[in-house]
Amino acid sequence: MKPIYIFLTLMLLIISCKERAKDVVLKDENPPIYPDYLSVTIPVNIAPMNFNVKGASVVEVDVKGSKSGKFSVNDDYADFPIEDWHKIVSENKGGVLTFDVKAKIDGQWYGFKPFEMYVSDYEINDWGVTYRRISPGYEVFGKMGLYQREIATFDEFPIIENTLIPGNCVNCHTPNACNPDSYTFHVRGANGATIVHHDNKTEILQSKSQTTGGSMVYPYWHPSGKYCAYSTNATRQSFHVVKEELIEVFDLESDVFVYCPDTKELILDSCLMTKENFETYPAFSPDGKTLYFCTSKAYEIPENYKKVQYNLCKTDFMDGKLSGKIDTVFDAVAINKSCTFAKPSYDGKYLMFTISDYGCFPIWHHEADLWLLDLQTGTARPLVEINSPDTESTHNWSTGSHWFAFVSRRENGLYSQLFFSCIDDHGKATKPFLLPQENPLEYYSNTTYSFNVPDFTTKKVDIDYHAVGKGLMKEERVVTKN
Amino acid sequence: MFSKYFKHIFSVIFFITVFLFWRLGYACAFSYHEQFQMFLFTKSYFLERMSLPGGLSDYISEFLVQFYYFPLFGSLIISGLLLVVQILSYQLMKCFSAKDFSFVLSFLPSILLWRYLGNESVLLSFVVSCIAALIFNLGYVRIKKNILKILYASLGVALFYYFFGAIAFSSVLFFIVYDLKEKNNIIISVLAVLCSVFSALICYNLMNYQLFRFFMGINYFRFPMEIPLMQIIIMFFLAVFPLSGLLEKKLNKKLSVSALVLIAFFGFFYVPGGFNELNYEVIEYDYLVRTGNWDKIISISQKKNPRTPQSVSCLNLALAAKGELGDKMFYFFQNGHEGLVPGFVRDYFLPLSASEIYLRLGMVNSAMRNLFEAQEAIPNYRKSARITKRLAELNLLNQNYEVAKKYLNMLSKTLFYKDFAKTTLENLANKKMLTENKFWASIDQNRYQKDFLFSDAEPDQMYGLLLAQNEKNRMACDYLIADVLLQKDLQKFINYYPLCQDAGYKVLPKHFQEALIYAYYKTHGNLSGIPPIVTTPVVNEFQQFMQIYSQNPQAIKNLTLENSFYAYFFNLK
Repeated sequence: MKPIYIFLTLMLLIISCKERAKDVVLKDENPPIYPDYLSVTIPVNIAPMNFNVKGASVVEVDVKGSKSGKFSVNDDYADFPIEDWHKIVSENKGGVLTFDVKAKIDGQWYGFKPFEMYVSDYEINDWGVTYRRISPGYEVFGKMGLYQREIATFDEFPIIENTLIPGNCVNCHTPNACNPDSYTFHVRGANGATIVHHDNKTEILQSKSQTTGGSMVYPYWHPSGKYCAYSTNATRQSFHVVKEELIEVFDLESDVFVYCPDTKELILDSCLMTKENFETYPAFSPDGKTLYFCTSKAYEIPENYKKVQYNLCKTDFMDGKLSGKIDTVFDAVAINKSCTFAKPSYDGKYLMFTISDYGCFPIWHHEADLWLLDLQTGTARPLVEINSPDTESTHNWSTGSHWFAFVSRRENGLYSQLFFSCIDDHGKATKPFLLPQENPLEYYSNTTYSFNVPDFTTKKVDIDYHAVGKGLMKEERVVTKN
Repeated sequence: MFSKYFKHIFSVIFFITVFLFWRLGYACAFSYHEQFQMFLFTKSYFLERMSLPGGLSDYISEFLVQFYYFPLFGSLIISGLLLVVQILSYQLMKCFSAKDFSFVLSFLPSILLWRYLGNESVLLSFVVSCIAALIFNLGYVRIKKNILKILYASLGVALFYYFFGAIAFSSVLFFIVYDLKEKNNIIISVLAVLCSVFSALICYNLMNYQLFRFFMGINYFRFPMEIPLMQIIIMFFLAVFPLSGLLEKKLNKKLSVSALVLIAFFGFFYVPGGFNELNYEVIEYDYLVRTGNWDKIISISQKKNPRTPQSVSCLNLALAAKGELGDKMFYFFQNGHEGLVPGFVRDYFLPLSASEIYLRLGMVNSAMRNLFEAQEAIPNYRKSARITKRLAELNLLNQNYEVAKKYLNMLSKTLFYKDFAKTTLENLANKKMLTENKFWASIDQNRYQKDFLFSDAEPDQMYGLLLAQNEKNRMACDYLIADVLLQKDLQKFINYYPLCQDAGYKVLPKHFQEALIYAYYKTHGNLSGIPPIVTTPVVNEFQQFMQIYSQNPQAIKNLTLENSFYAYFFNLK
């Protein structure tokens, strides 16, 4: 072997080996890790919960399972090999993982109190999560898109990005109870339309219907897959002038209706399309017999934007017909609050919704919190276990109805991040954890995107995005019928 | 005829000419380009660039464009790159047995690129890709072994396509031209064509972009839906121009000299045609606003009236910053209240200078909105270091420290904003840091204190509310009165001008006096009892104006009276 190759090999070995911990000064405190994964509960199939130690140049972590298994890592940050990670997590289902962290900070090695992660007995039975990534802006959107991420790995795939349809915005991918065999999403902009994928066909619906007077905006599939409820919203934005607030999003009017993809018919009912009320955010119960929606008294907007507060209501839905009889499920107005984004768990036990002081767009409300309504007892409570002083919103349930995903602005008040938490059999939620990334600090520091409307998906969304993009660039649209 | 020495001299002259052209004529263009990107020294930034075909040329060009922060470096970079294009072009032509005449013609690709760069939406990535293509073409010519040539035309082309993008199609066309001329086996260049097309199709299948962009370049031009004809012409020209070396034997020395003179003349008249005067007017005004060079704005406006809403608004900002808006605004062309603060548009450029106006008025959230929207509207989806820096400052002002920290952390990975970011981050614990600065303290003092929803449609109300909260906000007062004067609304003027009593005017500005005297005259029919706040020169000027106006209104146009509120009011400007 030539000397130069020997030299290069040695150099490579030296570079690839990180310094081991020595002369460790012990600290009786938790390690300053990012993200905050101290005492979180994780599902067995989660991607490696890599973390950074703030200010550390080298990190050494010993991971030990309460049932079996252990391994160590030594790197710039805690970067767990994916196979070792999945092995130890699966061996310790229902048990505890202990992390012993040592970090070199300013040239000195420190040892910290070991911390734990609990491996939940409840699995996430889904393949991954879907979400929209978009800059938390005002009216203009740069590069953004709908994405899917495998839960067990760091692999992210675009569902569709607006680079295919420049200047347009793609909104909230909604599958049918996490099954992407049926999905819908809305495209806003010059090439606007509503995409409905159903029965292996993708249709591009006319963005605005004369009957509804607006676009098909917030959708929710009927469990049978035969129907999809939408709201139609004339949404506007205004801008605050003081430092504490930025944006106010409100509806000038909104209604709820049901679309039947097989017949292209719209099922309209005057009780969900009233002039004197705003109706929005429809959601079917898991048995398909109830349609939940949020409704507020209609006011002149924007003058009275702070008076708009939504209650959670329901109406019966049978054989493709709405009963027209409205019941209040949760009277948010009575507590001077506004209730939006109601999502029933798929096991029929709970309804989770967002509570804010007023309005229908809580993502810009710092006070917005998640609440849980127990449908068996009828009691609702704020999910104090997961809420933060900043915004929590746009949640969705996993198919097993124990895990849920939501977004929170707790880190900086502007950029929404995706968190997971688990509800046990007594309705108590675990400390939420941030969506793992390979190098979390670098990823979350550098990203200029917010995560938006996360949902679970039982399998990878199969979409011919080029065909959808081409279809959107054309003028032809499927017209809905009354 | 042209010795090696002379050839070097000609190249150096070309370099100096290009350098001086940009340095003296279009230095503002560098700020324009630099502000629409934020080159980060991070792995993720590199990988993001490399995730698309042409990513390496994007990365190289964005690395270079960050140096545009100093216009001197910008001029050096452009002239250097165009010189490299010329040298490589000549090297390539030499492979076609060219000498003197080819040397003259070797300037043509650089001249074409020079003119094309006059289009402010052309990205340096295209020039970098052209250089890469010339080098790649030279490699093909110099490889003699068939097996290596096959590798070059297959794997090499595929890699070249991925690193430098659609310019690869120019190279494979050159391969064909070269093989035909050399009577080589054409199969190798056909293989190159197939590999380039195949690479483009594979990328198309994997990525969320339209098909044509894989064949015409994803990031050679700032606007994703446009491929300028000139780009196609240059790509074609780079492939076929070396053939001109074949003419060498048929041309004598005199013709070569004539060609040199002709090309120099051609360049002289051809290149400036690529620079749109109106576009560069707003680019220059924005650059001067960015650098706070108010005197220069006023002086260039005196030489030539600004013509677009954006440049007029920059001029008015400069006048306000110098405390001269009420005295001098009608010395210049005005285009209504859009010339004070242009209305919000979904654009990446216009809101930049608008945000500076909002900021100085004290409308902090509107400034932030305009900046954020401008950044999102950058057509090739880049982030802007200029905008990010301002957003960091505004978030500090709004006490959103965590958001500010996020932006500062990003800026700390840049070359020219890093010092600002690091200093600010170190002082982040000092919550009063920003307001200890005089500029930011005045903005914090001028800003709205009570919340309401902002209305673009009622600018006078917005200025009025600023003034109601801080009667010493001189700029809000200037803009409030200027707005009603531009709308020719004398009733509102009468209502509003008392609000400005505490705005710090030693003497009521001239145009305000003009409006006041005219309003008084309209109400009373004469000037007796006119308030003493109107000075004697203004009274005299008004009388002179009315006398001339009653006889021959058009005569006003050539007098100094043309620069008055009355002339604007009666459309005599």
